[in-house]
Amino acid sequence: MNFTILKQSIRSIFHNPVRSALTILGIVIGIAAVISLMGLSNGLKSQVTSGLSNLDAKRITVSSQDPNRPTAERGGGGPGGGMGGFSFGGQDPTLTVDNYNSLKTLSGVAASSPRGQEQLDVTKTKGADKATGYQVMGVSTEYAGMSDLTAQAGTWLTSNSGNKVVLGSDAAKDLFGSAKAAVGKTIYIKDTAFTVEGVLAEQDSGNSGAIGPGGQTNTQMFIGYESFLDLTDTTAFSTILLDASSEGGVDTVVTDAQATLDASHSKKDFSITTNAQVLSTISNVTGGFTTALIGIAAISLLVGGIGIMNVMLMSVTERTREIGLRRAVGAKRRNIVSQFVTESVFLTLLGGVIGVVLGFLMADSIGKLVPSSGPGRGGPGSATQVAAVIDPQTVLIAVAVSVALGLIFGIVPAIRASRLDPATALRYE
Amino acid sequence: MSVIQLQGVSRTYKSSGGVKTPALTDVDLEINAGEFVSIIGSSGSGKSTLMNVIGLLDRGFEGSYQLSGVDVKKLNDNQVSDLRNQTIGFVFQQFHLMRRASVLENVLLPTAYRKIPDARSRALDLIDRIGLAEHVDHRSNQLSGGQMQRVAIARAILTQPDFILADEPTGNLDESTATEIMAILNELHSAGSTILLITHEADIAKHAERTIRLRDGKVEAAA
Repeated sequence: MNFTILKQSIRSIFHNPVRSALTILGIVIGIAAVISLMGLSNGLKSQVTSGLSNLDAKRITVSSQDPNRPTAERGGGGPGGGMGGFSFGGQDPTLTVDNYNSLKTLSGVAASSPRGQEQLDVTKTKGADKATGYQVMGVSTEYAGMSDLTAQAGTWLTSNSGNKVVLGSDAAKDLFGSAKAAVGKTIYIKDTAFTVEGVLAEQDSGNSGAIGPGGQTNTQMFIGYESFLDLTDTTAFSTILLDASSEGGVDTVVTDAQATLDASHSKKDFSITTNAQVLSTISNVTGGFTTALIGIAAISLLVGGIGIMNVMLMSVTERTREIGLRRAVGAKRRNIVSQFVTESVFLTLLGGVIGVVLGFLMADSIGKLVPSSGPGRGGPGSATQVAAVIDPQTVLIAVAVSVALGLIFGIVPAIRASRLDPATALRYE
Repeated sequence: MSVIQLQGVSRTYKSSGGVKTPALTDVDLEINAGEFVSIIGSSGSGKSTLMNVIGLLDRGFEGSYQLSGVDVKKLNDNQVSDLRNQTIGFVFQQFHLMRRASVLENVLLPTAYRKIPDARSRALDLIDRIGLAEHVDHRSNQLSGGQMQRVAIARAILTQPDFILADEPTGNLDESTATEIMAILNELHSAGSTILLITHEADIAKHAERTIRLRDGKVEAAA
């Protein structure tokens, strides 16, 4: 191919801009759809993954949950819920203190905490008529370190027993007006006196993570797990959290924990999940989404390609005399083929480039309209936007696909052009 | 030295129904370098077929055709394309310019398929000689018929072909323009070009040194 042919191809495309534009519309729409949806799905994926990786890839979550129960039946669960993106409310707690004690001493466990949670009545005076319901969490002293909670006033729990409580920032404000005012005061949970040991720093809604959504932490109260069992008159927790000492150690801890619990549980009433599993579930889901997208794109690009072929066939017919002339002045068949293929490739490439730009704009504006439903949504007004992520690889593939379309759907008209009999072509009216 | 040598050339067209129609029958023809020869015949006499055969646009003939000493029957399609590019300068009744291309680009068209040294300066020089220097960058569809045919002649001689094959070059032109075009061809002939002119007009044919008359696909008389 030489420069003259390229120049002539470009000219013939721009000679009839309306027709060229309509011709490449299918390609433009196909590529734009793929680019925008890919961008959005990548954006969503990276948002979800970064939300999860805010905390720890070393996290292992043991839940009172039969792993074979369908997800839909899991009480109120799903991303955006509680622990590690899943909540297990409505499930009877099955994890005992003994379980916790044996799990926390497994080798390779760096930090651990059980977590029981219950909505309990809280008052400022004993026996008051008007009580407010707060979510009370029973946790270990290591819980704050595991979930990046810091006290803005007072201190975090120093013992797993004793009637001490740490308040979320909103809970402190509601009860005492400010964090400082709350420290050292007494509150009554289920009519049992607890001394406020500290108040947590305000968690922004973006701080999601494996332990309690940040936004919700603000309205929660934390007490030692032993106090929690006494208070709620139960013997088991819904969840036990373990942090392995290293990412590489996660699998060993999971295996050991499984064996330990199997030994003490007669039936399979618990499940062990890791953040790594959650990530792989998400990537499976987005992977399926991507596959579906590719299918849709393939169909629209096929239709676009047929449009290109149709127009190229028309163009060959219209330019029969020109083809005859070119053959007369010395064009070989392959020169004619390359001329028409150059034209169709240029058309599809143009469509691809416009599609990429359009797709990017679409992804960008749709991303701004769609509120994120990722973990850590604390409430109204905390919705974040999905930032479309379009990687160079996607763009490269889109461009390569458009070039390939030009080649595939341009070759038949081009070969037809090259096979025209020069003498007949010259006299074509 | 003969540029074109046809011996016993026949061309028969087959219709889809299998009916054979002879267009040329047993044509012998020899044209030497530097000659100006016209082939005259009425419509249906076979002159277009002869032009296609001589111009290497139709190779479905029987007999032998030596072009500048090369037996064209032995060539493949690519070699024939090269031979057309190098040895023949076509001038058509319909001009066959690329409408959207400039005068210069039209004259340079053969260089798209073969590099010619100093093609651009040669093309500009030729355009100057045909009196279109001011129109170099004009699109060819902005030109008059006579101007278009002059551009076509410049395109035909850019490659310095062995001969110019002019098929009714004045057929679409008025009389005075036709005279101009014939003057250019005469001038080229005086400068040494070999010209084969195909026409149905006796007035045009007589510009040539030699006239070959075709009738019903046969050479009737060589004058």
